[in-house]
Amino acid sequence: MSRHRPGSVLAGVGAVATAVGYVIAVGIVWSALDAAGRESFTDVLDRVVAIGVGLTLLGGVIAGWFFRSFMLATRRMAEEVDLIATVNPAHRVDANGPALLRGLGRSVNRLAERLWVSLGEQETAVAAGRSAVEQEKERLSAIVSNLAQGVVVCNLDGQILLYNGEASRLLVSQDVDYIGLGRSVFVFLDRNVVLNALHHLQLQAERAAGLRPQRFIATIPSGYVLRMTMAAVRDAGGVFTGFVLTMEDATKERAARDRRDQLFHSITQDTRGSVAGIRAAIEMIRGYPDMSQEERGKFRSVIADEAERLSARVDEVSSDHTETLESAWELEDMLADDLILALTNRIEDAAAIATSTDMKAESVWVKVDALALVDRLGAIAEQMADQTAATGLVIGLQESGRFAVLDMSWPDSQVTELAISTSIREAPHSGGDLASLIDRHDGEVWCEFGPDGGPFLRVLLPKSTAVPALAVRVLAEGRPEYHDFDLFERRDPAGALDDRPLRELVFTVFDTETTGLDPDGGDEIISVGAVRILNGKLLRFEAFDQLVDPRRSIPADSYAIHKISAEMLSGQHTIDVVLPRFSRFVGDTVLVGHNVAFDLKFLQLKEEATGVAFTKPVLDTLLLAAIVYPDADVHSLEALARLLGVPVTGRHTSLGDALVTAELFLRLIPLLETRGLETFGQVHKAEKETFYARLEY
Amino acid sequence: MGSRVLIVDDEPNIVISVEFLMRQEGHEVEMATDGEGALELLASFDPDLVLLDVMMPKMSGFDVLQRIRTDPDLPNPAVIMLTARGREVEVEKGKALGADAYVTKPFATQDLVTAVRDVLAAR
Repeated sequence: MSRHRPGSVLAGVGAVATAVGYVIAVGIVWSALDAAGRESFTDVLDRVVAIGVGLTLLGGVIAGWFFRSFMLATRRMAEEVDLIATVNPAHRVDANGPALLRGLGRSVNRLAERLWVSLGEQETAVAAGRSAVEQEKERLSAIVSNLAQGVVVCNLDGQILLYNGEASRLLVSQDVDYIGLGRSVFVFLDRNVVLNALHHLQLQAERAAGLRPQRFIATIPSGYVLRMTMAAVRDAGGVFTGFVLTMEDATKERAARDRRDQLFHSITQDTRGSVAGIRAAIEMIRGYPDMSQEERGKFRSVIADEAERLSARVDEVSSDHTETLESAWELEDMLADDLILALTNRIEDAAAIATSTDMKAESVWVKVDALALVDRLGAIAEQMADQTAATGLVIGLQESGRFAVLDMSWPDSQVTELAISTSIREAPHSGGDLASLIDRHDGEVWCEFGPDGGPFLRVLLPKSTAVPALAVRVLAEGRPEYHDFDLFERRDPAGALDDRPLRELVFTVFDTETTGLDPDGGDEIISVGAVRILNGKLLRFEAFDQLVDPRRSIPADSYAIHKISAEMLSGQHTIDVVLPRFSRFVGDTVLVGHNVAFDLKFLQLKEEATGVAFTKPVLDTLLLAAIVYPDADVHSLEALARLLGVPVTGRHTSLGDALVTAELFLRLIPLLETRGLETFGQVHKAEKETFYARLEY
Repeated sequence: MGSRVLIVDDEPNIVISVEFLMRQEGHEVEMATDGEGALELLASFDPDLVLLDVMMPKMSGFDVLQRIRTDPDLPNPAVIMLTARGREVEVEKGKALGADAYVTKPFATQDLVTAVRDVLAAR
């Protein structure tokens, strides 16, 4: 569908009607005349036609002028009133238009003036009411940002709603460069581990029991091993709306814990032997009074000897371990199933060996240092895979009295008893050996033999005495498919983008600076800037701002615009590094730009070299403005910014222009809505139509 | 009726009492202070019962026990484990590896005597 300017249509229709009138009149006169009359009439007619055509054209021009100056001005005024009423109350209509409209224009402006004042009053009142809440929020965010622990709050989709600096420090790494509001937490954390913890929180909530925060250990892409605590966020009705994760670097805790373990060992083992010696000796003396003098002397010296050793030990312990005692470390309750899941994940992440499980018991709680166990057992699995041709690992779980029995076996492999026994006692370069680790758990580990004589690793871990009530329920029902898990799929509906309102989408608004206007002729990108829009809010602090070494000179005329010199670009990353990073920054958001086809052209030319393609639908503020203001010449960034009341700062830096574009985009959304364009699909379609209409002109 | 009892422990102060006690019970007693010595005496002394300490340098009591139960060339006596750690999990492990009884240090000597009598009677 093409659009015609109504003014010219009207002028055309007028001209045609006038011409038809002439032709009819001439026909009537012509039929009434003889030959001579007809000849002289033809002479007259020639002149009349010339005048008539001239008059008709004049009439058309006058009609066109009238339409332009009045009809168009009326429509423009309607648009301007819309603008005042929606996004830019500071705007005033042009009161110097056609005389007929001047009075109306002045009235509109008076109304706008009063609206402005009353909006100001409203704002003051709202601000006063809000300041208390805002202060609370600020205080909260100050507290959270100063916490030594990392904090991340997510909704049920794993979208990050809040995070602090420590979380960012722990989570962000070379491989996963961005943490940000609205981004998924699952790029850092194994989705299954998080879902599992949530699952248990939900089970607890169902039982109306107190919610115990879930603890788990996660190895994240940055390489940190984090100790996580997950608590549920529930609304007033008790419905789960999200979760809070707190995280700490678990490796720090190691040293203190090792000291405590030494203490424990020196107290229990060393003294037991002495006490046993004393007790046995005394019982011998008392139980066998007939023993010889010499024998009695032997027992007495045993008692004296052991008593001396004991008191020396007591002194030693109390002087060595005062500090250790003050920071007692506790093992954490964990489902053995979860431990095995974590272990399986760890082994599979290292791609060491195919791992299967053989669960002969379910919902067995153990008290463990999951971090250390997963770490050490995982290392053993890797080691066995390296040393032998083992192709599969079976991790088994069963119960035996008060113990959980965890077996690791390598069926049909060359794994020997010696290899297993060595792996139990051998200490890796960091941390202790498995034997002493299991020892700290009050557990045992050894090499056991299966019915076929094949050796396997067996670990006994004491079951947790504080078994939470929910375990009973899980045991009774098995592990149900939890219906609420559907919530997690809710936000990624394939193909549903078109049906979603713009206000709900996440956008990345970007701009590039280049060495010139001709990408095919060798011009290159020299900077990329971008900001994100989430829930209708501009996230200024999560910006992408990157200079790019174009590997070519900077033409003087382009330098005049962006003021980026070759010196500023030397040493910067080249486009093959920057574009993949930018692509990760963009993620699955919708790209927005001003006159974005230009920037996209540059990106597309780099697709092959960088392996990065931006194939998602894109919105262009230039075209969106043309939808809202088809007649107005407000299509440059500056003109549009002036009209919509967006202050322009930092123009011709990528980030600066991206910020202005983002502000424009946010103000265009309500204006598009007044034209019935709300969903991405509607806007995208209208944008395409506008694009083709513009091509026709 | 006396039996042959092998005491394996690296702590001389406890060995003194246990040896005395076993002789008072009328048993013939030999002693070893580590696992290797114990394995040698197993072959030559052929004990009916081994009192086996868990915590020993080089070879642990569990290692010795596993050898006793899996090596067909060795005699297969009753085994009572002695441990200075008193942890239930060790009892479990000892049972899994084939120990007949388990006594934790410090112990009442009467309990040890009872355990020895029970185990020998059960054979």
